[in-house]
Amino acid sequence: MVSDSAYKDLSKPNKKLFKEVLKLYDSKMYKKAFKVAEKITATQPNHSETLAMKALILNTVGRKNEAMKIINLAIMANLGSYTSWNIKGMIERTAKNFESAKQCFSRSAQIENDNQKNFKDLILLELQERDYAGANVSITKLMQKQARNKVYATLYFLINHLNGNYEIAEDFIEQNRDFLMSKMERVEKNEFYLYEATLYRDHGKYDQAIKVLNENRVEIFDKIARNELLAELYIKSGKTGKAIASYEIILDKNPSSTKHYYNLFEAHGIDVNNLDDADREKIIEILNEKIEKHSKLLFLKRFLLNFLNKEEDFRVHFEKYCRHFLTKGIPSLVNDIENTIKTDELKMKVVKETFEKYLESMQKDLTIDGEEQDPMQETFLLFYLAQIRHIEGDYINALELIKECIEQTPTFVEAFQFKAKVLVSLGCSQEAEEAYIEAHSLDTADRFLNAELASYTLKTGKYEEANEIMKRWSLDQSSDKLNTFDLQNAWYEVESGNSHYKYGRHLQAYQMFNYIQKHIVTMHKDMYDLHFYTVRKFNLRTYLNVRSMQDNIRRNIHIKNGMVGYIRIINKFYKKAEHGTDEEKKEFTQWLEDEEAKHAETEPDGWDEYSEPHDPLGAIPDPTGVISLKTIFDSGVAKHMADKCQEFLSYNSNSLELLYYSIPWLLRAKKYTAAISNLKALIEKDPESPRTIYAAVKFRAYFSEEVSGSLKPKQKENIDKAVEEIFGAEEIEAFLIKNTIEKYPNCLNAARYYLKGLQKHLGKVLSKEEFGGVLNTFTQAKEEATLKCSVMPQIEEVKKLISYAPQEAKDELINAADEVYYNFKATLLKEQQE
Amino acid sequence: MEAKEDQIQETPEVKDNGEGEQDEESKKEKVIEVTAEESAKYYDAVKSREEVKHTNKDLKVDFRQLTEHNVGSLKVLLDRTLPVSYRTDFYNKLVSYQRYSKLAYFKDILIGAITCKSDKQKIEKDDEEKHEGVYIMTITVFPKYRRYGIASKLLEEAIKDCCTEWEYIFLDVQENNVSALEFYKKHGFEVSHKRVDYYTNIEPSDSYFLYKKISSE
Ligand SMILES: CC(C)(COP(=O)(O)OP(=O)(O)OC[C@H]1O[C@@H](n2cnc3c(N)ncnc32)[C@H](O)[C@@H]1OP(=O)(O)O)[C@@H](O)C(=O)NCCC(=O)NCCS
Ligand SMILES: CC(C)(COP(=O)(O)OP(=O)(O)OC[C@H]1O[C@@H](n2cnc3c(N)ncnc32)[C@H](O)[C@@H]1OP(=O)(O)O)[C@@H](O)C(=O)NCCC(=O)NCCS
Repeated sequence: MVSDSAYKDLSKPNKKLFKEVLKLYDSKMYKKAFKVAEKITATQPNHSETLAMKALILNTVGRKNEAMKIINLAIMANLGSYTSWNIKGMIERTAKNFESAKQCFSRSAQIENDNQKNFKDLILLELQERDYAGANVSITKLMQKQARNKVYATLYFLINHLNGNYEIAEDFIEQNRDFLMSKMERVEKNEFYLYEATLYRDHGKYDQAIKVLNENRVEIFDKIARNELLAELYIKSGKTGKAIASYEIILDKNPSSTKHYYNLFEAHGIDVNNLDDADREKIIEILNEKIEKHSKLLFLKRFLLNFLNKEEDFRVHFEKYCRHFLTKGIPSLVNDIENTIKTDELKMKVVKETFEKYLESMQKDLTIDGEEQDPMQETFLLFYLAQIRHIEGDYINALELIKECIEQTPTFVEAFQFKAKVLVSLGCSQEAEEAYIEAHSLDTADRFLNAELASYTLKTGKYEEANEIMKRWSLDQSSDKLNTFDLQNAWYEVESGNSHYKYGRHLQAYQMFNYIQKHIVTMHKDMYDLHFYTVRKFNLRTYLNVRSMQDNIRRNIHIKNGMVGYIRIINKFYKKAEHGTDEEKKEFTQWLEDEEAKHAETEPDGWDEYSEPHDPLGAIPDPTGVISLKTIFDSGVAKHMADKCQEFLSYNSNSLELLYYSIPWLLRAKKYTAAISNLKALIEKDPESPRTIYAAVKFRAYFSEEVSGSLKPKQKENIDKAVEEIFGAEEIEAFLIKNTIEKYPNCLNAARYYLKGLQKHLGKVLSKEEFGGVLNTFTQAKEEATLKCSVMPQIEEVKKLISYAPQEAKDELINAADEVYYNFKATLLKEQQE
Repeated sequence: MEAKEDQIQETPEVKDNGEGEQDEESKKEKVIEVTAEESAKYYDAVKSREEVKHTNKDLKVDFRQLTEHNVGSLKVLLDRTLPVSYRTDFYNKLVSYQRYSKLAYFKDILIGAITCKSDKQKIEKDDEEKHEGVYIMTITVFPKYRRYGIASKLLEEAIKDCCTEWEYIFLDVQENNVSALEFYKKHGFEVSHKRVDYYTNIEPSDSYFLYKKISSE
């Protein structure tokens, strides 16, 4: 930490004092150490290393802001001080600013390039920030110092591997095999050989990799991992016969692994993304064989359903499958196959017909196929059929059926759960919550029910109650400790965030979505401790995998939804901050400042409480997120959001929401190329949606004369080209009309995007008459209201639409909509009571 | 089926009999009247339904104890099938006496239950002494699952548990409850006497008092 050069500029008495500072610091007497350091700065106020020591002491006791100020003074006092850069690195590291810490250690390494500790610090940070080129330089340096250090040696070949220098890694292992493998335990040997094969695989040397796995067959005791790797290598090297054999071994041990079935099919030369009849037959043959072998395994029977596309085959198999679920009473039948049938009209038809046929027969004389069945099968058939109707969007009928089902067997928990789901689809969140409370009261021990109840409670905007339920639930499981990052939590945070958003509680919504962002950062930070640990423990493949795990976190559905929520809430704030009236703007700034003052972190300013080093991970900084919100708005919200959107999109390139929401932010951040490419991607992936049309209109309208005028010629050229590609010769308004209300004359959503586009981006307001024309849609919906299945959600849409009506017509329209809403709800609830 | 206990006191006929059972705890066991009317409607509907005799009697039920987690299910069962509606206290007490309740589950879903308590009753109307025994407060099965032998199994379970301790098992049946009377007859219960106005707020208000000797000695 402190090098000898630190003493260079000190006077004689101060040299002595400086030594004392170090001694006191080492014996954790921080207050005294600080006092002594002050004596030095009294006479030599610009001595860089002393200032650095003061900063380090303050940082250790938790006075981080002061520490940061003083360390910057120290650096300014002597830009060439090894000690000051090193200490700054340490301070940045405790603040978990890994990138800055890395730069500091890198500076100090340049100043004195034979300090091992410094390189060790540096290399960890380089790994953390995935700067493998930098890590390569550092590890080479360390190897020069101490070639016979096993951790260094391991890092050496790992880093070369990660850098794509396979040759070097392989040669190094070959030449140092004896040293590396000396005193290796059984577990480590297993790991080492598997790793070595992975290295050869990544290098494309498949035969070599296979050789490693075969020659060390005995030592590699993880047979599944070995066979998985072998099979992959056989495929890659074209030895399909052997690959098939390997997959067969794996599937014998683990017969419900979808992934490996697909691998097996591929090994058989089947292109699984493009099946023809012969392929299907082959697959059916393979699966039937397996079904015979594992006759108890439902998974296989369900899996087979995916490949049966002849009506009779599917029917015969499905009837058998369904009968099994009926006799056993398994509620998940429809859930399990939903994805298979939803997009397949034929399968959907067969499934529905089967249920209807059985139900009719049960209602007649309690038989199916001529045999008497237990009476509960009727209840289950009603339940299954209700779910099918729900998938079809026929909510009213779904509700009918599920009510009848509950009437027969009023203690069937899943039926109540499903009823709640139907009610939500119908827009009755209050009633849904009641149904859910009923489900919950039937079985209060079920953890899942507890969590779901919380989500239904949230849908009605009751946060405190929901939190209580969640607390109860997490207390129950206090035994299995939460992970650093519990995805169940993320799910709940997203749900609450959406609920707060819906009920206009913006700060709370922001807080929830900000948690999600924090989780990602925390996870990245937690990784820091893993680098040396995994290497020392020799978990080499784990190390390679953890990296992809870290990448995958952003692909997690809750995290992704959390990001969508995050953008939406920032949109809200942005609207206030940028597009509001002057008053609103002022109000927003004031609000941020007040909130910040309320929640500002209070730092300790004395010494007494801190005899032990302050634990920087202990406290949760910025619990409400306001401070980071203020920082975001102070330092350029557009760039922040544009970067975040792109970061998430790089992991979720198919997310329509993210594509859609990213475009305005990219424009504001002047990242025109990215905006164009996201808009094109959105058009390609979601061409028919009025939302896409709206996005295009918004894009084009963004380039007003003023904005266009400030563009560089090249930029202008690209934008014009994109506009021409999308709009052709069409005028913006004509384009909007053609692709929204003209294309979908009965769609409220299309009408809404039309009005929104017209008003917000083309600056047009419709007259009362014109608006009435658009509202024809609405009148039609009203007539069908009592019949049409999804009336309630439509009413919500209608109300959104009305928000674009001319002021004088608004009240009248809103009242009319409410009337439809209440009539419908009244009918619905009356039926329910009967 | 047990009546509202505070009402029993007011009934002269039963008063003598009633003394012994007015222990502190059972006094608190009250009945809610509000939904009685509605339940009665349902009850009628149930009874007017033609009940078929089923040949398929092979419903594999499993018996479970009453716990604080599934007591909600029991409440739904009683509310839906009996003409009286019991209060929360009643259920709380059942949970603490769990040995006296048996729940029948089929495919993991509750379809029937029996609830009992230890009690002292005069077997014959003119008996000098009261006999210790098990009083069946409720036995009931959802209509859809009747005539499959579920109630018989529940009764069997209860008797199996109690016969070493008690001499008698007894209960009241509402006068017009033909299926229950048939059920008990089939299981060898004897009708001892009628208790006039045993029930209040439901019609008919008279009950038959039934009993069966169960002790193995
Ligand atoms: C939830 C939803 C109905 C909110 O709509 P809304 O109240 O009109 O949206 P907001 O008032 O929040 O709009 C603010 C800004 O957010 C964006 N935005 C959000 N939702 C939008 C929508 N449906 N259409 C257009 N812009 C939208 C726009 O940038 C908008 O700015 P603009 O008015 O200048 O175009 C709407 O976002 C939606 O239908 N989303 C799809 C479903 C969804 O996202 N679910 C959440 C998944 S986790
Ligand atoms: C009384 C009750 C619990 C019987 O339940 P159950 O499961 O249908 O009874 P079981 O199937 O075990 O019946 C056993 C025997 O009782 C007799 N029995 C039951 N119900 C009968 C009826 N409605 N008519 C004629 N006999 C009947 C039959 O002999 C039957 O044997 P069988 O079916 O082989 O002919 C049921 O009817 C019920 O829940 N009723 C409403 C609640 C109630 O009134 N409970 C009693 C007061 S608490």
